[in-house]
Amino acid sequence: MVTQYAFFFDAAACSGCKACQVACKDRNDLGPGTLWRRVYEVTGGGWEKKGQVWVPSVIAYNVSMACNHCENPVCGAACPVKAIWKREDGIVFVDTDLCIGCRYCEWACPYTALRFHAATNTVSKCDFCYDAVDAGKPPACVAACPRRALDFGDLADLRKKYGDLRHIHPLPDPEQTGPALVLRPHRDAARAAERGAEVANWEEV
Amino acid sequence: MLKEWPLVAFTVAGQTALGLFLVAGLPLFFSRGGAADAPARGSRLAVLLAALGLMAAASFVSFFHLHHPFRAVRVLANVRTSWLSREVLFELGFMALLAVLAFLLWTGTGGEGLHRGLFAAAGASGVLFVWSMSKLYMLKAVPAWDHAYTPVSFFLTAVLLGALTAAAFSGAFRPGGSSALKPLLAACLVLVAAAFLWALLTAPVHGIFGARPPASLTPPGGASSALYAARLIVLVLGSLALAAAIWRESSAPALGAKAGLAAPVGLAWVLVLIGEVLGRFHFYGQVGRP
Ligand code: SF4
Ligand code: SF4
Repeated sequence: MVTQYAFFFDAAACSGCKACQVACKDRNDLGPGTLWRRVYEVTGGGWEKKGQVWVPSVIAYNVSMACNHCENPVCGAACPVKAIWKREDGIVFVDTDLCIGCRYCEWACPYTALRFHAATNTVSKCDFCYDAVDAGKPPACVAACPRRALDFGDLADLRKKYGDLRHIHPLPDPEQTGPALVLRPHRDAARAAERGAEVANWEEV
Repeated sequence: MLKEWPLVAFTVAGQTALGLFLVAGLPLFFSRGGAADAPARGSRLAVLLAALGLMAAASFVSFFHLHHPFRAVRVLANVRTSWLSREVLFELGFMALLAVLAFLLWTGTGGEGLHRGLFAAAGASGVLFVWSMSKLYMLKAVPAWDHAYTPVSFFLTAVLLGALTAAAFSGAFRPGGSSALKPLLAACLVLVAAAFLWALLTAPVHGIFGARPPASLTPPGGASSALYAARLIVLVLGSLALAAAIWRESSAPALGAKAGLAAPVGLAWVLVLIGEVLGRFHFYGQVGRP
């Protein structure tokens, strides 16, 4: 039995095509400006002098990120009306009939997973395509990725398969929330922080 | 940033209410000989009603930041872990105690001990209200808010605007002034200076001198250094108005406070209020929403 559903993301494989982001919007009928899965373009660096030679030190990779259905969902701890709750299989839900729309959880989540949704006039977020998953199918984002950069499953199984990396730049310290997330880093990620890499596509995410 | 106006109004008004209650109320309730003779009772009642009015206004305006205000009846559901629930709990407690105390004074019920006890309980609830309000913003996900900057700024606003409101009340409504007015004005001047220094001291961490927050998934906020600079200028102007009031008080006490002090103290109050409101917009502007 699944005790904690989780996503896997392979930053080395991701091309930044955003098929996952669009598949999520399409499946959940999200209007303009509401994104449950976002693809962040992380860029930095430039040129570096090595001896007498200038070599490129450009950082460029993508991070596809939705809600991480954290083991310690700080969003739910912050919510005054208990509108955010965690199912037995680890999926974290927002009850849009309870949410008062104070948007406090938006500030509390370090992954900015909670997004205001005009249709319900409340916050909203990735629900792991729970109905598809319950029916034995993959979440829409996982199914849509042409490079198989996304996977899903029980956190323990994903760790066995891919290792237990939960952090690459510029993600928050995983100790904050215990994200149910397994990552494979892009080769640029190791030096991204020291080269001052940042998200470059704020308008999009 | 400007969208957060209900939170700006709520936090500034709520903090002012606590500050006014403490600064004006403490001497009225706890000074020796301040027992409930008729004028003292009137002053006590005035302070309680002013604080209660401010709290009521703050509570009303806070509903404007909710997208489903009518569902807010459940807002105390998560007192166990949510600082937002706790803030509302102490907000309601503060208001209820203010109302009970005002009622007792109004009807002349209860002895001095009961009144002082209720004052202390209301004060504790009010302090916990502003403390919860601070903790609410001290989120690990928001490094700009997650340190002493938040509670110090909030309590400073409370004491500063509370003292100035008390001074404005005495300056405007008490012909002949009160003997306590001059030290109160001096205290206000010190507090404005403290707010000014605090803003300068925290500036490097809060993105004013070009310091940028660490890279994260949170988009940059809209806090502008122009807003920050405007706040400092307004605070300086406010302190000049206060200095003018103190000078008038010292040089011509015979003028009578009503004629001589209402204008500079009122002006100082308006300027410092504007300064605190600008500062609060800047506070919210430090954190972006996607
Ligand atoms: S990623 Fe954010 S919204 Fe999702 S469970 Fe964790 S804290 Fe909550
Ligand atoms: S916006 Fe809704 S889900 Fe988020 S903290 Fe407020 S009530 Fe809870």
